[in-house]
Amino acid sequence: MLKVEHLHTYYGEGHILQGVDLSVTTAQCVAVLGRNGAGKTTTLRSILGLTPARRGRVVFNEIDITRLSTHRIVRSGIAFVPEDRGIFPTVTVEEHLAIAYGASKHRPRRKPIAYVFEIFPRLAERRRSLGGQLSGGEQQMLAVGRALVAGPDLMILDEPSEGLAPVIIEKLEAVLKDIKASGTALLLVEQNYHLATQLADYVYVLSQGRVQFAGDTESLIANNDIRRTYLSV
Amino acid sequence: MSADVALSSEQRIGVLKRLPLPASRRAYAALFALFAVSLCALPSFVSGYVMTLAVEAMIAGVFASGINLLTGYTGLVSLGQAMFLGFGGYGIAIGTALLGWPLWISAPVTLVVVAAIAAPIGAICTRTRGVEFLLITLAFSQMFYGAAIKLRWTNGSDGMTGIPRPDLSLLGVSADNPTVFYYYVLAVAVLSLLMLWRIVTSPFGSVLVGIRENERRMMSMGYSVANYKIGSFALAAVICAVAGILQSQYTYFVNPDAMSWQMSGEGVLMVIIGGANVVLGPFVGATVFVVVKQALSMITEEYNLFFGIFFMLVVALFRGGVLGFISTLIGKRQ
Repeated sequence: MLKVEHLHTYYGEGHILQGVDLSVTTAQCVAVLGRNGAGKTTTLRSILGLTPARRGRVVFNEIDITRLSTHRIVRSGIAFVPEDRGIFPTVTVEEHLAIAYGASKHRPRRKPIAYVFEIFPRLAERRRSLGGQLSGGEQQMLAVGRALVAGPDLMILDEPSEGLAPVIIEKLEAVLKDIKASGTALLLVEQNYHLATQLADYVYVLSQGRVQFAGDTESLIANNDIRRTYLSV
Repeated sequence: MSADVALSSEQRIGVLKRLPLPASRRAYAALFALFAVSLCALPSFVSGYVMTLAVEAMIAGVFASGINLLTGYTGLVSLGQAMFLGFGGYGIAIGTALLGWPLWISAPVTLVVVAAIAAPIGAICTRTRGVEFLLITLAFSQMFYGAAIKLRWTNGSDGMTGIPRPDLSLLGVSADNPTVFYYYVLAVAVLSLLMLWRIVTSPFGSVLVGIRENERRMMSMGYSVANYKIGSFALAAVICAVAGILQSQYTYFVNPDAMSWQMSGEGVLMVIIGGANVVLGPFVGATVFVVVKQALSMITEEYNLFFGIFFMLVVALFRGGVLGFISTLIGKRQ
């Protein structure tokens, strides 16, 4: 479904990604792990065209999206939940979902906004609240909900558990599992090793802009060297 | 799961639109009604002088509303909106005086032409943001200002006279009468406001606010941000051109001063004084602007100095402008 080949990305002269390869198949959850500065977020930004790669290719559903503009990439069926969540402080919960729904090109058949309220009842209670009045956990739910209403084939999440209480992380984990079970693929960047290994079928470990390890979750858990060297767990 | 969650998506979107107005919006609706009624009744109570001020304030209010769409909603601060004020005035001057078209053709043609000119200008300007956007809009308006001064075709810096007011003989009145002209301006102003209200409460308006709050996020949600910015630039230009048409009809003439950067700057001041990203804000701002300036000019010749002090006081004391301040008060009481 998503295939990233030999991605090289620069910030100015800084050579950040030095040939990253990764792929995600349908209904799979792939996690990208690594320390700060390993190039995890940059990989996501390159896939989404926010920081276009200088060399390499990104292919999504058999279409080369490497040089497309961000909004085209998103419209081809990728939803993005950014690290800062990107909630608009002066816009209500309901309007957030309506705006996201308005952008989706092929309108999904299932009731998207009702569906979001169903899996996040808390958002239904707070539908009139402004983004700025939500707690961190509620903002994260809204960010995920906003990605869901577009009915994506692939959802990309950048550190969804960051700054959340353990109870909320458990809830998030359950929701992400449901989303995966419903057929949406997930590409997850995480610092939270436990959440990542709970969710992911396949794991990539990045360090200094290169893939140091690629394998299914069990083989990462079994591989002490990689865990100690690159993840300190 | 409550029953209403089971609605179909289409129904749900429908419900979204029909939600009762929240308290603050109801307060604005009441304020708007009060405003409109008192403005309708105004001519029976006040002297011609006050009515002149009211006409000036309403025209300035339409102009500032155009700026508000771009600055308050989309978040792009322009210092060149007066060029569209000038385009409006020159448009009907050229249409009626040079081409000999009746006003009812010249005015809509002017607005269409302004939109057609504003779109490519917007396409260039909106590639920048912040200070660069401010400067490039300023540069464009100065370019047209310079052209208007030099062009013999439109009498250079002398400008063009004889701009007609609408022919209202069908209603048995003449727009040359100040009271009749007052109602004409009021009607156009209210229509412009309603149109603007419709725009900013539409999905298009939500996208503009999203761009102001977080442009990259809107891109990551699949919106072609560039096209929306150009659209809001062109719409704002058309609203400013409406003000330009009214202004030139009010004074029966137009000259390059309509396009001066001071005019653009005053428009932005009105938006800030009244309250950005509130539909009525620019009207309140324009009214305060016109009234305070008049009052100060009666007291002292150095009114610009004192107006500057007044502006600083408003910015320091009223967060979100006069209207923003009022709505905070209402919010506190509830």
